[in-house]
Amino acid sequence: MSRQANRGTESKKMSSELFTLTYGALVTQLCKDYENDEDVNKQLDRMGYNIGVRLIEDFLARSNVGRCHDFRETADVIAKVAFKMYLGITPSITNWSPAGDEFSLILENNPLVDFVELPDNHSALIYSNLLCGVLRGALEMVQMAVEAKFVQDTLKGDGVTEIRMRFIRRIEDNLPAGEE
Amino acid sequence: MGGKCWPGARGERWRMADAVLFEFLHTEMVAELWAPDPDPGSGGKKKSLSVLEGLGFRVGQALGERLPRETLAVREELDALKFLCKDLWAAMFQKHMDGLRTNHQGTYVLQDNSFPLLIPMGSGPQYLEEAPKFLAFTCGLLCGALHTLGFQSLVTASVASLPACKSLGVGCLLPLNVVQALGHPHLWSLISAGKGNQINKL
Repeated sequence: MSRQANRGTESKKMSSELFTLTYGALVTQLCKDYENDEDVNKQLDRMGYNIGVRLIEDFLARSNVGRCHDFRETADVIAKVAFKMYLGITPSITNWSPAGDEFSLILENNPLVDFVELPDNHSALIYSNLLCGVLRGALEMVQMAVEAKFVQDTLKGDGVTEIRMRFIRRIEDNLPAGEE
Repeated sequence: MGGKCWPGARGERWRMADAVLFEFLHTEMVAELWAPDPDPGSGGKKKSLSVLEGLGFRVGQALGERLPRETLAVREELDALKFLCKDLWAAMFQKHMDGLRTNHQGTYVLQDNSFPLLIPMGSGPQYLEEAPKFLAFTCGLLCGALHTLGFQSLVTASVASLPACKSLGVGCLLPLNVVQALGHPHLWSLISAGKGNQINKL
């Protein structure tokens, strides 16, 4: 039984390393394909958006989370359920704006940057920008237009990695033609 | 997608969350790196395949370097192939390969009856022509892992069919052909105790 457990644990660890290594190979390739870091950042965000649009369906099917009634509840679900489920980490939530429409996710460790060093000629690269796209795409599918961006990054020498989330507006359901 | 989902279908698709994340990333990677060349010659298609294979090779090499300690004892060619079928496949797809055949002359056929990276594709012959895009990365990965284990190889893949089963998400029959390019595989030396983790330098 303990042998079986060890095997599972080993397999799980390799599985998450597979994602990290694959992501690293992808970023490397995009840096070759595009001339400047800003284009790579945009591409990572776009790919993340496409992933987020699909990931939200997987997440809602897996979890028992109902509809969130405000942005604070959304923040809790993102940090305590979703990040835990897909990346095995639980970021902390800080820096709420007085209006309650902005907060920060603080990642003490970012599994995407394991085994990664950022060379000097890529100072503008936002290595984990895929995550911002994923968050934006997923929340759009539950009618929330948000902005997600990295404001601190351990790869750049910061103490922590921080993603700032800003609620822009609720996306109205499209009414069928003739029913307005 | 009419009718209820069979329990078996849910079981098959109900995979670990981080495995789902890898699959989504893989799909986006195929879409991104398969930008059609302005020149519609076959050279463009081949180039795209080799880019995906190249990425897979690097990932396979790095995964191979993170072998569990007892696997460092891989000495025989067949043991290396068994490692791919069991440990590596379990890490990637949470299951073992369905079959491993060999002619004992350096050629192996690894068979997966429901390859997870192809399951999201619809069944039917019209998708067969798209399938190679979704196999290239994995070919490179197997080749890279073998390289770390000390074996040179050429890995190709083909899809026999995408069987149609309306309610069940049954995927493809996928023989992966691992061909030894060299008659005598070079045995990889053990990792020294002091070797650190590989750093991916951009």
